[in-house]
Order: sequence, then C-alpha cells, then structure tokens
Amino acid sequence: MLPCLSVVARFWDIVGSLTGAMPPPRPAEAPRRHVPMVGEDGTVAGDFPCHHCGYDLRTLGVNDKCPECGTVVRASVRGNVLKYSDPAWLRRVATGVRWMGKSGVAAAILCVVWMLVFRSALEPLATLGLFLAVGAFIRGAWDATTPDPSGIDEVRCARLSTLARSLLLAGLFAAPVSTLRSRKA
Amino acid sequence: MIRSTTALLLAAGFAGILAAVRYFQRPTLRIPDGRLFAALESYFRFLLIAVSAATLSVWMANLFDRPPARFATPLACVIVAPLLVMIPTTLSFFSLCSDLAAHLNDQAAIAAKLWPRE
Repeated sequence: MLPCLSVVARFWDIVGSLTGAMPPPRPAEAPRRHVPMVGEDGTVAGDFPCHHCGYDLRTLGVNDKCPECGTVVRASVRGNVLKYSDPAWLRRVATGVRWMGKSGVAAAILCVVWMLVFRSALEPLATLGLFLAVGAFIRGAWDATTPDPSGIDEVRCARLSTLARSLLLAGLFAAPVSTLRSRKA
Repeated sequence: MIRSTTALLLAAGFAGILAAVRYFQRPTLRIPDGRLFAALESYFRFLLIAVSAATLSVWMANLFDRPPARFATPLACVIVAPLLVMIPTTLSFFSLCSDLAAHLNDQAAIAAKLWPRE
C-alpha cells in the first residue's frame, strides 16, 4: 500500500473507533479463543491460558486450581465476562473512573472560576488549580484505561487507550498556554 | 498563534474525553446487564455534540478581544450557550462515572472470590 493511503487508512481507523463506524477490513490474523472447549468429564479439552499467569490449562478440571498461580480454573474458562477478570485490575479501573468523575467536576468549577478571574491577580492561582484538576483527571484516565492483563479485547482497547491518554495529555496544557496569552497582553 | 494553540489543545482534551468514554464501553460489553453500555452510548452522542459546540464556541470567542462587548446580546448568548450546556454535561459525566465505578467494584468483589489471594 502507498504510504499516503496507509496514513488515510490509519486515520479512518481512529475516527471509526471514536464514532463507532465500521473500521476498514484488517489483514487476517490468527483468532484468539476466549472460551475454551470443556469436555464431558469437565476438563479443558484444548490449549487455553490461565487468565492470571498464562499457564496452559489443558487437561485440568474446571474445579481445579492453576498449578502455577492457584487461580480457580473456572475463573479462566468462563469466557470474557467481567466478573471472572482479575479483581486487582477491576479495582484499579473502578478507582480511575471515580477519580475521573470527581476531578472532572472540580475542573469544570475551576474553569468557571478561571474565566471570572481572567487577567486579574488571582488568575495564576486559578490556572494552577485547573492544571492540578486536569492532572488528576488524566491520572484517573490512566488507571481507567489500563488494559486487561488477560489480553481480552487487547487490540481494540490498546488503540483506544493510547488515543485517549495522548489526547488528554495534550489537553492538559490548554490552560497554561492560554495564560501565556494574558501575560503577553 | 497562542490562541490557535489553546483552541487546538482544548479540542484535543475534549477528544481525549470522548475517546475515554468510548473506551469505557469495551468493559461494559463484558457485563451481562446491557443498561450501562446503552447509557454510555447515548451519553457519548450527547457529549460529542456538547463538546463540539463548546470547542466551536471557545474558538469563536478567541477570535476577538472582549467578545461579549463586540456582539449584539442574542449573538453573545448563542456563543456562550454551549459553555453553559457543559455544566449538565459535566454533572451527568460525574453520575455516569459513579455508576460505572460502583458496577466495576461489584464485579471486582465477585471476582475476588475466584482469584488467588496475593
């Protein structure tokens, strides 16, 4: 593919992931199983990694524990439902989401304050507060967009989380750059 | 130059929030109850319109010095209105984040029973 066409395809890919439109067709890649075959005797019939450590669970019973890390096998074989995911990852995402909500409200309030005190003596203080609130928002977003360690939905999630993190980091500097303008004036 | 950079960075920040909301939909697909996914979907559309209008409004306001004094009152209100819409948008973002966090914590509590203790 020509380089310019590849850039257009990549751009469309990103826009598609934001708007929910269908992405362009991707080259075929090996499908990754998330729900293994379980035999009639209750053992894992094919190669399937433990969600926690990646150990191959083949031939182990669904009520057994992973010999490597001790995770109950059924936590890995029940598919990609969230309640069978790593609880530490879930808690981290939940904390991040909570941080985002709280600091988002704080940033909105500080934004109004910043507009009210624009070009006054209090402006640097409001800018600092806004910068800190947006920083806290990004810290929350960083936790909230941590990819699932089990690798479920990895391709799509990794692309979206990189996009969200980089765009939010760019947005962090909007208030300080705007302050340069008032300094100049 | 500084004005365009500010508008561009602000637009990037808003796009980052949109991308984060889109990202939240991925884990909610893995919850059997689809209501949270549906709520995020409709919120994403509302947020897309609200932040586009707000970015446009900030961009317009940055084109001129003292924009409220320059324009007739109705036009000034049209420019400021999208910024006011951001208040309910922020509040619904907060409530959506609280719901999502509570749901994820519930899932984590169930998952902790299956997961090995560190």
